[in-house]
Amino acid sequence: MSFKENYHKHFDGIEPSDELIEKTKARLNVPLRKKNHIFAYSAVVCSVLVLAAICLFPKNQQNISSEAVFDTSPIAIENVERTPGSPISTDSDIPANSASMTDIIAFSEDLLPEHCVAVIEGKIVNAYYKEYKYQTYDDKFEENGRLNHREYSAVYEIETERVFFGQDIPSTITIENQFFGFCDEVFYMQIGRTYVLALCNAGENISFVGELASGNVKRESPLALFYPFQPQIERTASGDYIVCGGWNTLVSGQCREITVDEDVYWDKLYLVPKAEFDSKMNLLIKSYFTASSD
Amino acid sequence: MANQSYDVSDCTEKIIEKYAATVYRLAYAQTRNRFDTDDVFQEVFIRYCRKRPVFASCEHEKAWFLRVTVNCAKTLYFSRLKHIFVPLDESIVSDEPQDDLTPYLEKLSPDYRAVVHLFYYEGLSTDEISKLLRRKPSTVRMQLTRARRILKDIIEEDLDEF
Repeated sequence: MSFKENYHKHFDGIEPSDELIEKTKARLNVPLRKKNHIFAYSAVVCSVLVLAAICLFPKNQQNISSEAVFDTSPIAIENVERTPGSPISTDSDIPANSASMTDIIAFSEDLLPEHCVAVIEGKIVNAYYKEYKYQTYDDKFEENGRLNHREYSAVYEIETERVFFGQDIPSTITIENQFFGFCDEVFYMQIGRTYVLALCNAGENISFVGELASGNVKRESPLALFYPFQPQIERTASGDYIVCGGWNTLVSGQCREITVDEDVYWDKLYLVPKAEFDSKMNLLIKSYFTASSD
Repeated sequence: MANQSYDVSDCTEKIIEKYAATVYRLAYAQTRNRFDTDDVFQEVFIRYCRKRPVFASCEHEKAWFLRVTVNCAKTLYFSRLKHIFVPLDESIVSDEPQDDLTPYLEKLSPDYRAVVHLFYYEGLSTDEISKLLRRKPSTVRMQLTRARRILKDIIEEDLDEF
């Protein structure tokens, strides 16, 4: 029996139970949107009150507008004013994402103190894929055998604009990610865009399994993204920041939920106003780095 | 106030019945357990009812369900990483299918399982899978090749098939 037939046989018996189908239909009948009406009515009432206040007290109008009023309603990612950027140019041989057979722990800012060596803000001025070809010793198939490897990493050259944390960070840095392309294309890092990046030291060589037999495995730079498996913090054209949910300190308080299309993978994204980002970031640095070094 | 429920109209019922098996099998291919599969299954149809997408064709409709299933399974996979699990007692009998294929499929990562399932069960070409998963065709081919290497002991077909 061929693998395909075997595979079909394996899955042909796997079907949803009638109970599950009925349960699903029942769940879809649950009134889920009731709360939205409360919000909608509240929003209308609030709008009317604000308009009335502006009309009745024109002298206060200037005071109201002078304060940074940040809309906290959800916004679609397509409507976020992002800086134009261009992805890394590539030929068809290079995979869109690097493969990973390992389990990946979910991101949380609590992870930062252990290996994060810097948090910087900078603009990507150049980016490319670097190819590695090397051999490792392997006796699995024959004695003194060798395995051929071909891998790619993504290299970014960044003009540093601000350093939130880290020592001796030059004005231009290079970072190299052996893991790339783990989120949808809409979140790929692009040339011309500015990001706030948590960095780690990945060592002089790329990581590989086994003992090196031949080939060059030396990295362009020891610096790498601390957590390359999610969208990085991106500064928008308006100066606000697109931030993932795991950055609890940054997304606390006033921020705006960013919605993405149902068929795009990434569930929690927020737009953090520029007016609050710096203070939140400083708080985060103080919490995780200053405290631990004391 | 009017009851604003997701009305399960005849149309939705037909959709659920039409794609129930497809969605369930693909979800199971990735999660490899019935409990998670049930969660993914429900989430897919809730998303369908919430969004009510308009499809240009039957192929578009099927592709939407396949892609959303892959994404829901991924989301569940990542959310599971946040929790610590205690292994079940081995003496507890599982109702998961146990055949020659099972231990091999367990070795694949969810990403690879999705590609293998879409290729071998749904019969999609690597180009179709690449559009569906928004990966490059070369990536899909590479993932299939690597998956087949892992499955090599039970694969008898020609490696050049795709």
